[in-house]
Amino acid sequence: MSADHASQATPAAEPAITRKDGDGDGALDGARSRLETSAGPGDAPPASGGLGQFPLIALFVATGLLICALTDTLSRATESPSALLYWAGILLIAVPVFFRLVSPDPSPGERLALVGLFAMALYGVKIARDPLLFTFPDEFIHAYNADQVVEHDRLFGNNPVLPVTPSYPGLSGATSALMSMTGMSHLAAGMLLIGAARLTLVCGLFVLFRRLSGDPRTAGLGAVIYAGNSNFLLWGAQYSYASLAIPLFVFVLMSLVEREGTTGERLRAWVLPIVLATFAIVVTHHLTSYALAAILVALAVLYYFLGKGWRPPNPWRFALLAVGLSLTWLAVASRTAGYLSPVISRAFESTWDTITGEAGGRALFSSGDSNIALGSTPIGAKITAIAAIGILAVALPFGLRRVWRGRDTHPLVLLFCLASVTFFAVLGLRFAPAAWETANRLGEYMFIGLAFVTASAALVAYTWLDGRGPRSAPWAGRALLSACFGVVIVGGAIAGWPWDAHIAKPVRGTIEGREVRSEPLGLAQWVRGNLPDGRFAANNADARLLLVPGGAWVRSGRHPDIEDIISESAFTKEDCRVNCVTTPFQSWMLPLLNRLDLRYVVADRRFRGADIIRGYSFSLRPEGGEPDQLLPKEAVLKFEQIPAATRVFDSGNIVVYDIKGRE
Amino acid sequence: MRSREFKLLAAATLGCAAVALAAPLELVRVIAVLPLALFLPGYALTAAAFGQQPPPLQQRFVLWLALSLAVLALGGLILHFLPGGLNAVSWGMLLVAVVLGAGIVAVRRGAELGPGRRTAGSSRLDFSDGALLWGALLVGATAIAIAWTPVPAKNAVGYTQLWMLPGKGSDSETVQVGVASEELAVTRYRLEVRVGTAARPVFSDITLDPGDVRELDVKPERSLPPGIDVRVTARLFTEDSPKVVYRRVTGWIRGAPGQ
Repeated sequence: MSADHASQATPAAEPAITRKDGDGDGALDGARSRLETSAGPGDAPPASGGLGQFPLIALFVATGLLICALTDTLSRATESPSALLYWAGILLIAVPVFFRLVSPDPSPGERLALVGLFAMALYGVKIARDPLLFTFPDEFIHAYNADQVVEHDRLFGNNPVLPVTPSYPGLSGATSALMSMTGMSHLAAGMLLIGAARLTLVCGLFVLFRRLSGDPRTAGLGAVIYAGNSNFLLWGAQYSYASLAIPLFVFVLMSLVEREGTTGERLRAWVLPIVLATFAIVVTHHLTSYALAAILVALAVLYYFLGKGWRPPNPWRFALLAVGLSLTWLAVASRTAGYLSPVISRAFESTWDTITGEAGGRALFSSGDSNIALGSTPIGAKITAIAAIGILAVALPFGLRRVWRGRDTHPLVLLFCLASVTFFAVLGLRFAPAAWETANRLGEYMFIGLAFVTASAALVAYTWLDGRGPRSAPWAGRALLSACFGVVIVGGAIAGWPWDAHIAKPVRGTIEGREVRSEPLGLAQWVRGNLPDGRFAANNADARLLLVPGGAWVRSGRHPDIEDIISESAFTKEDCRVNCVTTPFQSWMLPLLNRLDLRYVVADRRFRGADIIRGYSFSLRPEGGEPDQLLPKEAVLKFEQIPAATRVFDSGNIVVYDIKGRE
Repeated sequence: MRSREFKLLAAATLGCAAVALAAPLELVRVIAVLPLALFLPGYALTAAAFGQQPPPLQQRFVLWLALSLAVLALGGLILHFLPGGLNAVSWGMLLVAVVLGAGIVAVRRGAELGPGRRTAGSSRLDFSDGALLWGALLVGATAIAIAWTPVPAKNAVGYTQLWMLPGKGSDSETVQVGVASEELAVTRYRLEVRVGTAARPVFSDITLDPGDVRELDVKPERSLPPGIDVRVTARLFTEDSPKVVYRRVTGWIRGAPGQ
């Protein structure tokens, strides 16, 4: 019993719960103790089983999902619904679940069910945003890979936009299983697969946290608090290889910890799941495999230095396996180093330059590209996002103290403590322009530790608040904690995605029963039907639609520098009077296009054409939103300097040139 | 796992595989493939790995899901190196093989199945709980239905596509001009096509509903000299702004080789 609760009777709730729910959990049967529960004298004894409040909470959650879906639909109808409606829906999903979980009443079964319900409902929010078409930046890339696997019956194809991705075929292979056996689209197959992965993630966190804390209450709270990480609501729910790998990563941690609570045959039984999942992670996502290798190595070393030696349950063998497989796959997927190292080195350089003052810092809540005008984040949203970090920071020392004082602390718990502290240090990277994305991705892993620690803090707070509120409102303490949780969830989501992009934008619509499509989507579908074998140069957003659903070969971005080819205005003939030197278009742009064998250029005047988050939807009238900002006409007309070129397609803002024309 | 239970597992697996591969309705195939891909492999592997000492139900649930996902992620790699590669049949065979193979191991190890001991008073569903759950399902289904419902985007900016491509087939003296309306109302256009700089333009009046497409083949009035390229220009005007070029495309026509 921890000293915090020395004056309070702590009934032997865990063994009783364990016996009553009949799940045979031997976690506490003579095993070393973990953290004590914080059941206080005023709390009702845990329920004996059954559904508890799950049906009522499910109704709240479904209503929250309905509100979010309604908001998205109104936005697609260009009715400009208030964002507050959307966030109210999110809170209606999150707050009742937390309110119930923080109570000592629910059974472990109900807690797990609530965690699963919560995760699936939030996934439903993402689905409701994009039910008919992938619109997240990485989704197009992985959908293309899946289509290629189905078309060619083989892995390791080519992806012109993100060449490293086919080298990690776990996701595309898995998707092809569902697609080829049923004929369903990559959209439906991807949704199902990632949905299963999300459920695995949160349930895996629950089991992991329960084993480490010995307390299903901490487990439930920790699993839902994890949703406060900035990538959980949208970025981490997209159809992407990380979205499959991270749940498997959590599963490996869970399996390692479960393995320790067993002996003999069961100890060996866990080897198969750990090995299989490790293999699966290595072939699915590079960063997650390195994170797994790093944490296993750290665990193995910690085990040794904590006096537990090298014998099982020291996971050094699994660490060797993870390191060996990751290095082997790095050699197989040789493009990985070329893909990751510039990102990492730019992050370091940018961070150093920002610290030393050589470069300006990045403003929070801004895009890295200053050329694109963004909807600004309202002050209330910024305050909420910062308050979320503040709540987590305030909770941190209390959680660390409680966790640290648990007897016989598990090495993974020590790593969680380290991760929870490091999370705040990594937040500083968000001020460096080229490092914020690295910080964002790292935060997803570190938040596992922070969620565990924060859950412990939540129980400390509950114990303190219990009995201090007004007698007429004994639930006030839980309500306050639930409100803090709501801030964490909403604030995290705001920090992880542009404010104006949370709610759906119209990509398709109906007019008198007929379907109309946004301009870039119309281009992509035109290309599919008319130039299926064409090779294109396009801006980032247009390129993604040309990949899927266009099915075309397309290059974009800065390496090679397609972006400047599209956006720069070159000299016109009238400007070339006194000294008619070779124009930039002639000096490097056209040779680059020829070297890459890119016959068609998509000249998009919309600034959004380069915006991989916002570039896919209709342009809007002022009544419906922000009208598009456009590049000068010269940025498009420069391609007409090429004598043989033809202007093959014109939809107003988007023009396609065939630079080889009559060849 | 007893023999009878294994037979049930095998029947379920083979049944799901057969329906997933052969059912005429996609929805039916999807319903069959979900347990085959996302549950049964993990279920069988868990039974095989843990034998007579299965972990508690909550852990098993995670094992079923995670191991199924791992099998899917790794299965593609295996099939990649086999003749035939990744296709519906090979996937079906692989998943069936994993489930049945693990099931056989589970039988030999005497694995236990089922959710475990039932507790007193658990899983009792009374009327109010049932009503709330139904309500939640209905509300959730409504959310899904609303999300999937196409809606008019009245403040979206419509547009028109105009294109010009070489004529289909080997006729190099023809180009195809296409017009597609993604406008938000019926739109009347005038299409002007000029072959070369000296020829008179040809006009066509076109009326399109939203979503309509019109394609025309354009040939010069007289055959061109062999090997000579002539530029073709098509300009589109709307009825509302008859003097403003709304869309413009260009192409080339080449005189056919002489005989």
